[in-house]
Amino acid sequence: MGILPDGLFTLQGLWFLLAGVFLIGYSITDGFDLGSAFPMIFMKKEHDRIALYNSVAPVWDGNEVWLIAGGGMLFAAFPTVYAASFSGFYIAILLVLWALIGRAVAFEYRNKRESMVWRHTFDFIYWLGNVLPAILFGVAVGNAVVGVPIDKDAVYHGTFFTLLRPVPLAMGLVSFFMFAMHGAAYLLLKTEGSVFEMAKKYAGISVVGYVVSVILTNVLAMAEAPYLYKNYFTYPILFAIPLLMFVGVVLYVYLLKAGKYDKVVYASGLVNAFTVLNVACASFPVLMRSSINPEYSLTVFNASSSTLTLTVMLIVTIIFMPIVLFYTRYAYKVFSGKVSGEKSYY
Amino acid sequence: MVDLLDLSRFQFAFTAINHFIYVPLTLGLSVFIAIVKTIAYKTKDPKYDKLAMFLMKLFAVNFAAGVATGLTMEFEFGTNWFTYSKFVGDIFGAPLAIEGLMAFFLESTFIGIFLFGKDRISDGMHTFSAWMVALGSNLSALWILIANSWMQTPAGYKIVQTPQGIRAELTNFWEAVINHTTVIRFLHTVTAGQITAGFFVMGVMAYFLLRNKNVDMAKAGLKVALIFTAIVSVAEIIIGDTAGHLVAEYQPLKLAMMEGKWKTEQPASLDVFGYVDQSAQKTYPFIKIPGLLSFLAYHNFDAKVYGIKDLITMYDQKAQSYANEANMLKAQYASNPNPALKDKIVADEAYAKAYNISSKDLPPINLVFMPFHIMVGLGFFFAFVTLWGLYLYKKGTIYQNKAFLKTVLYSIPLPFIASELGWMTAEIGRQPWIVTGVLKTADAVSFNTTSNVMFSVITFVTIYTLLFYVYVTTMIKKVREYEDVKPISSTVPSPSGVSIGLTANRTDLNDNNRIS
Repeated sequence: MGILPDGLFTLQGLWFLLAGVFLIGYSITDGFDLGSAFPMIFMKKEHDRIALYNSVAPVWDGNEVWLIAGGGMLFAAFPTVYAASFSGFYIAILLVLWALIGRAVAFEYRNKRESMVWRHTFDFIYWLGNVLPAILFGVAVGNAVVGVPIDKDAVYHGTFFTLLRPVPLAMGLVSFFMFAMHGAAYLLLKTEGSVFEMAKKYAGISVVGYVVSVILTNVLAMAEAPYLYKNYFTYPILFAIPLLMFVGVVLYVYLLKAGKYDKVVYASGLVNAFTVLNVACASFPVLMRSSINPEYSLTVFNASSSTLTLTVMLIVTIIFMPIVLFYTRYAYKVFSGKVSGEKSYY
Repeated sequence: MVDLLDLSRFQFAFTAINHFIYVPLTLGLSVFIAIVKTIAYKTKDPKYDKLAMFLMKLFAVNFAAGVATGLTMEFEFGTNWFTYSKFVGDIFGAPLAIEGLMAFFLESTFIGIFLFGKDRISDGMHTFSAWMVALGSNLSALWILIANSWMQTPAGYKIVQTPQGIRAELTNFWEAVINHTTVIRFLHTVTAGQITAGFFVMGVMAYFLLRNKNVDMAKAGLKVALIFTAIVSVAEIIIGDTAGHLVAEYQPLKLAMMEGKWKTEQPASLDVFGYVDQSAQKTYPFIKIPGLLSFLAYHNFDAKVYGIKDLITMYDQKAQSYANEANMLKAQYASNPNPALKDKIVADEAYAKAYNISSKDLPPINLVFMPFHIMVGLGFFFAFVTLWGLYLYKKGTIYQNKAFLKTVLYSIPLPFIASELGWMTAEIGRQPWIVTGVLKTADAVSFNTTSNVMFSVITFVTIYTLLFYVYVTTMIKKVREYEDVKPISSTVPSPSGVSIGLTANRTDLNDNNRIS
């Protein structure tokens, strides 16, 4: 037995890692878009609300593509998992979809009229469009790793309410606060004045929320889903991942206390990445666990695409990922610096 | 009582049709803006720069709606078509993933740079961004058309057994990607988008000229748009004709439904307009031109065109021979269990199931026959209008000719409609299959409850109707209030009327606080 799980360095195992890369890419980029919007409904001044929109306006669209590309990757590399989760989690998935539609529409149309009723309606849609996905992503991933009633053909036998169990719900809180930490850190980087002051408090609250929800998740999971800890004890080197997650949290608090506000976002990025990796470690090689019979679980080995498809997609990813990262970095450079709520981008 | 299949079909059709309200304009306008921006960059003529920024503002409104509704399409394969996704994911998932990676990132990142970065980057870089948006949106269309063309005319795959059921597996990437129809269907779609954008710009410029507003910009815009649209409208007739041949060659049942042919004819007449009585299995044409369909479909006045009834019989015979072969192989397999034989049996059984169709499985043929003929009619109309415009331009009277200006203004919706009709022909015409000859739509749906899908149908109808309303009113408002670059004063600190490219000026940003 090696120090890392068997099969991690096969083509399928590599695709498991790549799926992780896309999830991390999403939570690091669109994560701060989501998190930066949570305070929206608590902001009373029009000026402050516009500053929230402006902080993410030029980049959110590109960030959301991580989700779209990631969804495509899941479809291409693990089609059965895509089919089983999207059809099984029907209402939950559509709630995320409608929320994201609302978010996109609010960005573009909010400032097209002067009416405050119009604007506040879109502000609420925008807020919901960020809060709902932030929670539901955690709930969905939680259900996949804890287990859902899928049969041998990967058909889901449950309802929307089957998904609302303690561990996945706690994981929904984790993802919510993880994005909140990241969003707060991003606002510290991008804003000034009253929004900046708000972000300081917001960052403090969210890091506490994150720690509490992580503890809660683990307490519940030890009782209800002990199998999620098996990989760590079989391959103790994996304990490095929760450790690094913890380091991220400590760093976040330190940077906040030390007043290095433009650096906090790196710490929350670290927390995002290692939270995702942690879930991946706990679950490997299972992508979607069956609560009916463990034999029916969808793993990277029994639910992956053909070797040819995985190889082609790997080549495409190796070619295009660096290009994407290159121009994404360029875009962030173009838009570096603080924003204000004086004028709206849209 | 509506059943799950009908509801799922309705939802997909409704969301796809809504998505395609916004897509053609995105495809065409991105290219048009890049061309105008390049002219501005080369000539340093401010009216072209103004035109590019004005159009980009409209583009942004349209793009947001396209992105929002596009997300639905990617989700829906999984949510509502479980068996389909599981069956074809090995092949169909790849183009969707590549679309995201190769095209959508490009488009979404550079649209941010183009819209908001004007004052932070050089003019050359700004022009480059416009081209990247155009490249991204058109590459996006390419991969979607690759995926869709595989559904129309599948190639480069084999059918195998997996632990969670049977599926189609990739055997040759390039065969699957450049299958029989991809290239021409891609050209057909993007050219339609360019016609849409061309008429959109001509119409808006005509509106300004009729109102005597932004005259310099409007004249320049109308001229460029006219030349652009004339080229693509004429090209589309040739491309469309080629696309028709491919349908005749690879999808004879679709051809028969497009033309309303129940019986095999040799030579076949072209029935222009009319209606189909599906229960009586008859078509009542208003105009009949002998031999023309044979010529159009096969470039031969004597060619045979198969009718729907004969095709169904032929498919059933095919299904029977697959079933027979499967039974024979099963007997062989019993004595000699070799895995290659097993794959062949699985494939034969899948084909036997797919080809086993009856007239009850056919879609509403009027929704194939009529849209197709109206689309073709509109295609000729577009070419005619642009040629008329070129004639007036040559005479030098185009900017004063009210009849022409009004025609292009009121023609704005027509290319949108033509695109939708084209897709109706393509998608309804592919029925009863979701993947031609491989999987029936009826066998592809998710195991879901009717109430869940009813709930989502109602929500989609509500959201999309509101979106459409907001979209149309916002577009009209943006055009109406545009008078050169004059911000509209407002009491709130966010002047919504300001041209987007100019809002992202230095006052937005505090350079002293830059990190890095």
